[in-house]
Amino acid sequence: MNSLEDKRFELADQSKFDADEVVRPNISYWQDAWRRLKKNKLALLSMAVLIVLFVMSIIGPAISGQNYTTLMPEIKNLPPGRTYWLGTDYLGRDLFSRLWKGLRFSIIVAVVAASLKVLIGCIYGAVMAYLGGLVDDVMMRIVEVLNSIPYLIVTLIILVVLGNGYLPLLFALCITNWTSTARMVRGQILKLRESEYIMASAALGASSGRVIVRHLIPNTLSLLILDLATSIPYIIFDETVLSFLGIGLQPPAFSLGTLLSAGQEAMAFYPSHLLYPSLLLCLLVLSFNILGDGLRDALDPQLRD
Amino acid sequence: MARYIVRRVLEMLITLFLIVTATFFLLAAIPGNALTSKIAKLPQTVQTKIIEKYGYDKPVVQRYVITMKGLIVKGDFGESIIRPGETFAKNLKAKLPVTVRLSIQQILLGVTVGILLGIIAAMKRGSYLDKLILVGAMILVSMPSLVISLLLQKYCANGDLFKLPIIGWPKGKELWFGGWKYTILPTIAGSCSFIAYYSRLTKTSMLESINQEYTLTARSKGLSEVQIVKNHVVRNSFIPIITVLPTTVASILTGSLFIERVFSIPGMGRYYIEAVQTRDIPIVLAGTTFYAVITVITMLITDILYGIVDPRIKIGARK
Amino acid sequence: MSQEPLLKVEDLRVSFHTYAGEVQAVRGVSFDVKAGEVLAIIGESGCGKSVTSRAIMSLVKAPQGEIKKESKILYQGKNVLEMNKKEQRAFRGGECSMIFQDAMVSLNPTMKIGKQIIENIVQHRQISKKEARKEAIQLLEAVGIPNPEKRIDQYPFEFSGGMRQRAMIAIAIACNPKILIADEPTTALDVTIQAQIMELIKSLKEKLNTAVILITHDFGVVAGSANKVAVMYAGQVVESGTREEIFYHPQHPYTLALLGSVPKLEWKNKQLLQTIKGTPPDLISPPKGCPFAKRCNYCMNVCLEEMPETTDFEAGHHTRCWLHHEEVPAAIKKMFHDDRAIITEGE
Repeated sequence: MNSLEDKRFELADQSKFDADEVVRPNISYWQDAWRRLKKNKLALLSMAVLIVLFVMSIIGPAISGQNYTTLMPEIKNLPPGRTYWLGTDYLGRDLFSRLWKGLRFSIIVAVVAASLKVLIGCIYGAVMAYLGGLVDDVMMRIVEVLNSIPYLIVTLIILVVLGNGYLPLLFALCITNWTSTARMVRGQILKLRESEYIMASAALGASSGRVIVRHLIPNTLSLLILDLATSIPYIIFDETVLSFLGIGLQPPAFSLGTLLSAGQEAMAFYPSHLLYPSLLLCLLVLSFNILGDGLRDALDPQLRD
Repeated sequence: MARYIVRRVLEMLITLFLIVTATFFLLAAIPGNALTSKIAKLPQTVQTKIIEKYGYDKPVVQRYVITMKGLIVKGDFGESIIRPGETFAKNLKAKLPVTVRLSIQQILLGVTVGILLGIIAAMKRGSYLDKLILVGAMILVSMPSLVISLLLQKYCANGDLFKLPIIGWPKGKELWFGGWKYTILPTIAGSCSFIAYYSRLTKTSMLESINQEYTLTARSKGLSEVQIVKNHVVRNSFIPIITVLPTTVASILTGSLFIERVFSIPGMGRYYIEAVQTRDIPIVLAGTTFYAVITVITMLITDILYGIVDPRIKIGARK
Repeated sequence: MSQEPLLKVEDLRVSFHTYAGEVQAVRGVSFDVKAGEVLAIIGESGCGKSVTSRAIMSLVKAPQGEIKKESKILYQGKNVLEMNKKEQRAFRGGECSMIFQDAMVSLNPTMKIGKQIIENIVQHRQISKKEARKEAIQLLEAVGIPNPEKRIDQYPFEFSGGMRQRAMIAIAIACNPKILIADEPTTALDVTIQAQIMELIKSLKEKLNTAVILITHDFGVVAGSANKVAVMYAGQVVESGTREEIFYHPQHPYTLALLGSVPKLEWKNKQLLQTIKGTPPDLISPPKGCPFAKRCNYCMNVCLEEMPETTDFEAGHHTRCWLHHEEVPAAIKKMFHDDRAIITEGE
């Protein structure tokens, strides 16, 4: 003890401490984003709800084991009961199974169309930014022309031309949606290319491949993930509207929008036919929105407070 | 400024020309249109005659030239196939006021309430009121207008809660003003999404502005919170709000497509959808052009507003 | 200079609550300024000097920012932190005003310069808008802006960097404040403009007998203008004293290291220019000993374990360093004094 006291005023052994040591461990951008997302209970809950909805949309129709395709007028408009958990519709089909089947189609359309939109927009935007000059001008003009009509109308026209059905609907939804992504990607790449750290990395001799892999993609990826998450609800809306108007799908194919349309017709006497698909649709969109918000908070370091 | 507007109008005309052309050829590619289904049951000779009468026997390019000529000379795309003698322009007179009134009511309600809620949420950030607005906006934004329309129609019309009519729209003298009981539900149905969208946007954009250094300067002058918001934050945070104006108009237009259908309102949206469903080519072409014209004009107005709100942007001196 | 201090800061503690934890940005800072005096607060980025200035102006934003209860900011004997909102607002801008670092972002981009000045005048004085406008023109002239009648109706983006900073100063002095806080007023400017701006601040100080608190990381700026200097490190004042004391008899190794990192013309041996190794400590979990210990050339075992007490020298010169403890071996003290002689005298 005494000896320690004596040594108090001796020079410390500097080799034992590293002046550069950082007390907190460094964590990467994605780790940090994931940590933030995990802290957001609501976003986690919405993710759980989405997983449940996904699973139910796959196995839901099989659970009740009831018929949901053939017309059986003798059991139409049954109230909820033991055999038909949520009752039957105006043609005697099991509503429970139809709900999940309709949800399945809405989810497929939304996820596929949103992914395609991001992919097309990303490629288009990158091409614009990279080629520049006349090509950029022409491609940008095309985007502007497309943006000069509300895109649901473009979708309508394309559906008129292609006819109703799964594939035309999918095609029509993603062919019109990508312009915002393309603009965003183009803007981001141009901005990044002008940014000083990319110039610095190029000045230090990084190859353009390295610049793309190390800087452009990571800095654009979070934007794209956000874009994907936020566009899904909109595509679900559009699909619902089109199907409701009877333009998207042809019977016997159906989605939540078709169910809504049938629900409107039955709503005076069987309000549940309108209520169930409405609730399911809202729950789906709400979950996507909350998850999207959570992702934005997690991915955008500028919003940290 | 005048020069800028002239240039923009020219650009707009080119854009519109491209849209009309593209739409025309897309529609020409449809295997069957209103005409083919209308005459399907008639004898062959009569069919040919009718097709000739509407000019569908000619090659596409020739039809295109005729259509464009008609557009320039008469300002129209020709007669409806479904209702002979009717043109889009004629219908516009009766149907446009309906849609315009519905849209204005939706914008007034949605945008003003939305911005107000957003300002309240930003100023009282962290409070229960803020959280309430946040949750409310989240739920509203997640309820498709279509669902809101249907639920309103089911639960607020004709009975249980309110004695509002399920469908219909004021006519005659009340076309522009009055007959409110018809317009309440469609207006609310269409404006909910705007309330949600604008309150969220306003709040984010106000917070962004509040976090800027110049707000700190304003605070260092000893201004009160209300003065800071009124004099410094609002104008700067309106810049992003103006940017979404075209989106708003676009969603009003697309919203009218199904809201008018749900509430059986005799407006442009329903008319257009009917034309699309029956493949009434001239009307679809005219309607599409009409929507494009409105969108393009909105964009021009947005750019001009931009220059007014943000002194750093000099209209006409860009690029 | 024996009058009462105009502003007295005692044991100021400010924390920010962040995702990663509580950042103790300012940890018990005390100093005072008298009328007509220039106090320079110097330190590297993140040492808490800007936060200190913002705390004086009550600009630390709740809920993330928190000024601890034991802190006192006494203006003419009255605690600013305990004033009600109205009194605080009258104090801000009226009695005490602030020049911010980057006028580019500190001026409202969508408001005319004149209006930004008039706003301040009207807020604190019973005066019509018309008269306020006249005064604003005079102010612009006073800060050396040519054509003030025309300039008053321009927007900040139409001003050059130096002009913007002048306009910023015009806003700050609009109400003849008793205290002027300048937070790195010249950092964003060219060197030639820097000197002009510092001259302007000095001449305004003479004219108005204002107390100036100058926040900076630049010893050059301090040398030309300050009466007193407080050196901050990791949220604490490690040394304070008159300009002469700090420049010629620094008692803290950090001050010495800072001085050593500024090149001087008198130095014969140009190799002397030093850098300070390492980085400042993480203020989320500040070290229990002296925060500078791990970067210090004279670090002793005690420095790592315990916080040093304040040692007082003559003429209001204080420092917080173990080197001045009586038990420190003469050899270590000599090492410090030798190094100091080299740096301050340039031998």
